[in-house]
Amino acid sequence: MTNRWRNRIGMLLVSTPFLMLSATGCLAAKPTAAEPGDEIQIEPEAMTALNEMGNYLRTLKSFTVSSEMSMDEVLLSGQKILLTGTTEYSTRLPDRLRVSSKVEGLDRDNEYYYDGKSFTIYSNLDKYYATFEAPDTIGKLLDIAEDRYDVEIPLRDLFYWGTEKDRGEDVQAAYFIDTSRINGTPCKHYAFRQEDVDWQIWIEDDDTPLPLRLVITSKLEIGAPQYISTMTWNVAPQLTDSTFVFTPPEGAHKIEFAVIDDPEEESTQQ
Amino acid sequence: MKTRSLFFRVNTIAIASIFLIATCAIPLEARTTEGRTRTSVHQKNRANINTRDVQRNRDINRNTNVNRNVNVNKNVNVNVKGDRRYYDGRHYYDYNRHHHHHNDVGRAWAIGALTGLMVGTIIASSSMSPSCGTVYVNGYPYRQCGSTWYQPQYVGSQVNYVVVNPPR
Repeated sequence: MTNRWRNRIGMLLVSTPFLMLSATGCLAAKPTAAEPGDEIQIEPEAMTALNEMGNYLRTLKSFTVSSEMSMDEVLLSGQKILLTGTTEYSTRLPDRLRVSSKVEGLDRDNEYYYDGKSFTIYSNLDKYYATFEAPDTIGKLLDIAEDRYDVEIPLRDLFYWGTEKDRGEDVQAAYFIDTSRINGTPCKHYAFRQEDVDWQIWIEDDDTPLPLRLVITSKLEIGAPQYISTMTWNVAPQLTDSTFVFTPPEGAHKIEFAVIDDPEEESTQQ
Repeated sequence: MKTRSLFFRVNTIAIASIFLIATCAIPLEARTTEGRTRTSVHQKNRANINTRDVQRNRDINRNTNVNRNVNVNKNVNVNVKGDRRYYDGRHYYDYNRHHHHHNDVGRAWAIGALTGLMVGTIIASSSMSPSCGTVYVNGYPYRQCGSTWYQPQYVGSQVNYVVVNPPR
C-alpha cells in the first residue's frame, strides 16, 4: 500500500465522526465537492462535437437503432439492482416512430407505435393496448407521452439533439476524455456535467458522428443510479408505413391509461 | 422506465422539502428525488421554456418544477386518500389508490365491504392469477376472480389492476 493510500484511509478514519454527524444534517445534502484537479470548465471542442453530432442526426430522414441497455434500480433499502434490456427504435422523421422495449428484471416487454396520428402502447406479456391521439412530430409526442401519460421512452435525446429542444445550455462542464472503441468502431469519449445529471457519450470518430454509447448518472437520486446504452445504428433502413401502424394481435384487449386527473388542470389545458 | 406512483414521488419530494426548509437553506432541487433513473439527458417539461436567457431559464425551470409538484400534490389530495404501500421484494404498490372513475363510490364500498380485496386496491399485472377470466362489460375487458372484479389500466408503461365494484 502506498503512503498516499495510507494517508487517505487515515483521513477517512479521522473524519468518520464528522461524516456521521453530517449524515444526520444537511451537510450530507450538499452536492459532492469536485475532486481536486476537476476544474469546472467547458471545453469548446466537446460542445462542438455535441453540436456536430446533433446536426448529423438531423440530416437523417430515417434510421433504426438497437440499444443494449443496463440500468440501476435503487431499492428503498439503498441496494442497487441492475436491470438489463434491449430497445429497438425504427423511425422516419418527422412523425413515425416504432419502439420495442424489453427489460429483464422488470417484467417489461412493450411495443410502442406512433403513426403520425395516434400513439399506441402494447404489452406482449399482458396482451393489452392503450392509445392516445398524438401530435404531429416525434418530439412533441415524446413530451406528451411523458408529461401526461407517464410513458417514458428511453433515449429521447436522440430526437432532441440538434433540434430546438436541444438543451446544450444546461451543460455546466464538458471534457474530452479519450479515444476508444465501441464494438470495434473508433469513438471519441466526452464527459458532461449538468445540474441534475452527469453524462458521458462516445461519438463515432468519422464523417458519420453517431452516438454509440451514452451513460447517464442521475446524481440527484439516492445512490446515483446509472443508465447505460450501447447503440447499433442503421441510417438507411427500408421501413414501410405498416411498420408504424398498430394492428391488434388476436386476443389483444383495449384498455385505458390511468391519467392522473385534475379537473382544474384539464380545464386549463383545453 | 420504471413506473412509480406519483404519490410516492410527491411524498418523497414533500418530505425532502420539509426537511430542507426546516434545517438548511439548500436549493430545493438538490434533494428532490423522483426515485427514477434518468434515461435521457434532457429533462422533461422544458419544451415551453424561453431559451434566450440561460440563467433566467434555470430559475424558471426551478419554478416550473416546484409548481408542478404543487399540482401533483393537489391531485393526490383530491384523488388519493389513506395510501399505504407494500413491497413485494422488488416493486412497490399502493393500497387504496382509488381509480378516478370509482372515487367516491369506491370509498363508500370499501368501508362496507370486509370480504375480499378493498375497492381501489391496485395489484401489478404479474400478481394477477391467469385463472381470472376476462369479462367484457360495456366494451371494457375486466378480469373477474370470484366476486372480485379488476379493471386493468396502463400506469405509464406498466399494466396495473384496480379492484372495482362489480361493473354489472
